[in-house]
Amino acid sequence: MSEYEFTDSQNAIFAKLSVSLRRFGIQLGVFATLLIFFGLAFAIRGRYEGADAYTSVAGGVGIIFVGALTLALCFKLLKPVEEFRLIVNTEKNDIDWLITGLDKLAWAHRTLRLILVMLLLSAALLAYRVLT
Amino acid sequence: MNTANSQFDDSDLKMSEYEFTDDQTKHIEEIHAILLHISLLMFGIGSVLMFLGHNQPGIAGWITIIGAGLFLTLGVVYFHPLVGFRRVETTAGDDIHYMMIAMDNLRTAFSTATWIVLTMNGIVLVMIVMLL
Repeated sequence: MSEYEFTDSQNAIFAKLSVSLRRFGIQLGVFATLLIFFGLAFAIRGRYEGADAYTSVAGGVGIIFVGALTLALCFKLLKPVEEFRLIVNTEKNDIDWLITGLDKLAWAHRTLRLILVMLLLSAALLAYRVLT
Repeated sequence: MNTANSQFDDSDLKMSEYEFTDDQTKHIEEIHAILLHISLLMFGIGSVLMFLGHNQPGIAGWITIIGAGLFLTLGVVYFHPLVGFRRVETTAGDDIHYMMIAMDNLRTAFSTATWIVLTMNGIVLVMIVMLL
């Protein structure tokens, strides 16, 4: 067990970090919900008005899937908030809370990496279609 | 690095002589690597979207270019805390000092990302209205 205790000014950084992270997580949750609605509108219009360059059922399902992944990311991002708060509110084990918080942050960002890889592949496919 | 406008008192940080253990450094290296991947993926998506935006006429093209700009900004924002993490891993001494710089930059990154996601929410809302 590490006995290092963060100073007040350092604790202030962690307090602000936990607030920023929570706000970011909540905004991502709103974004994910909007993305799911957008995917639904995309798919419904593609289904009833016929698929064109901008609407299709498959595209809509894809957007809903990315929205669901983003929603999962939102919940994962909110988890390390608690560890950063514990650094501020408790004494001792500060370094352990920090490492656990960073671990959870890394876990959340693995999901973000997956979403971004999917987005990059989709964008690259679109770019390939434009070129050929 | 965000040292000039840091939210914490620099003087008391330099007093701390705590050195992260090898195991703790591995966890820090992990989040460092994931954040680097995310930053590079953001740059990649931003570049492809920029290309797509230039080849798309009308408002859809402009929305794509704005989206590209947001992804490129997120790439820069996510790259910023990496310097602090790198210093923690590679230098001996002042580990807490560099960790706090990384945490402060991470806080700035999440704050900026929150505004960017807020803008993206607006874009998705416009796209939903356009579809309905």
